Amino acid sequence: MIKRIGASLIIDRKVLVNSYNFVHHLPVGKLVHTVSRLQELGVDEILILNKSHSANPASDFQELFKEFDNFKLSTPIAYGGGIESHLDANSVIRAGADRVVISLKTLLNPQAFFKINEFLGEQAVILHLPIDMTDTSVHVFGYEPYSLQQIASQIPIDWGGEILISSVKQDGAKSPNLQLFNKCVVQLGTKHKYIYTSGFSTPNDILNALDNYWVNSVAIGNFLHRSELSIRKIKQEISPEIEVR
Amino acid sequence: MKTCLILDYGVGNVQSLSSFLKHQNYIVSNGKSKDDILSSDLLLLPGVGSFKTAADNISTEITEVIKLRHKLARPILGICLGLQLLYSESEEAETCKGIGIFLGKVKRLEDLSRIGWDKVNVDKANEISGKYFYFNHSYAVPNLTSTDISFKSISGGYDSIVIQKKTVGVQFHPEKSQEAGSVFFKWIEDKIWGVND
Repeated sequence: MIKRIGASLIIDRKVLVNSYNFVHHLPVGKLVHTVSRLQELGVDEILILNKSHSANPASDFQELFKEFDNFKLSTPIAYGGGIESHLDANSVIRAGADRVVISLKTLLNPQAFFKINEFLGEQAVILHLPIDMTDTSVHVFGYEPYSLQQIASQIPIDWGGEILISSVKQDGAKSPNLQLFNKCVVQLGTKHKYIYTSGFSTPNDILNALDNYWVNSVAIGNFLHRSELSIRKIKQEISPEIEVR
Repeated sequence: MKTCLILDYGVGNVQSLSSFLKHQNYIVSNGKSKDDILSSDLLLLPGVGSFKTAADNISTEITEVIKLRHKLARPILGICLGLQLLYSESEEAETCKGIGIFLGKVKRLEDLSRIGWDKVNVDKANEISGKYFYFNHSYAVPNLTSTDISFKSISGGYDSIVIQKKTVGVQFHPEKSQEAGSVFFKWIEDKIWGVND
């Protein structure tokens, strides 16, 4: 199994946006064009995170998926935005996604977390933890009262899903923070599988992240929209060092 | 145009498969009518979901109709969970029975899950040799020797393609394997199902 190079696409009302520190968002263009282009260039998977989701995530995703039907979409898609129950999660999968991205809010509802995993299988679930830090603490953005150890205690030690770690301070910045990632791994558990996103701005950043034992996959965000470098070129540049597809 | 019935067992990436099959020139429907199970040109058992949820939604009668279709050598494709359902049983749901076309028990992966792209190992060089396919599973069938199987390939120590008569099970997702997925689908259409003969 080779490590993956994926894309993380944030959308706001169907418009793709660049995200800065999880607070500021600037429009980039139409989601469907970017998804089509990324597939052409050989992206390994696409995470779509909907920041303006409604109370009906399946309906939100259905609207998006209709547009994908115009081209031959054959790239794994994970979708997140308002998925809080197994019914939401199953509807999103049936509507065309391959995996669902859930937030800490859903993890903190043990019954919902259990049912989603039981219904879909753990491998179809990605837990997104946007990590923020102050001088005194490392915590999930918006959930300051919870320590990472408390969050870790909610995740079964043999859970087969993946944890998406993003860094709020690195969101839109030009350098990843793998030290912060390593801290998270230590506190959340070394047996879990991780995806890292945030702060990529050179192929070398991506190579360094993939070189980390616990990083199964990277998800590239803003860098994809502001750089001449395509996924294909990134793969070409790093392929002498690491096996890529 | 050929017809494909995606078997409805309450879970599965139905829309994703439907879109893929339309681009392969199939008219696609989703349901579990016994007549449709027998008469469609292709019966597809979708992936993404748990063994228990799916098995609970497949009645004994439907199991028998699927077995009949297999005996009649009518094309069946099981993808990921769909492949696992073709086996007799699974560690994922000890109280449930699979369809039982392939003999063996689906096991939990020691490494908890396999998510990503991998090559499948085939004995003879053919169209799918050396290509990467997309896998996403936490259960699988260990490589077992069985005389009933006419073709099989291994990936990561587990069955990745299993073929008996015109029933094909794949642990990976052809519909999510980009160009390699279409090449694979064309290969089974031509070489296993003979639909273009």
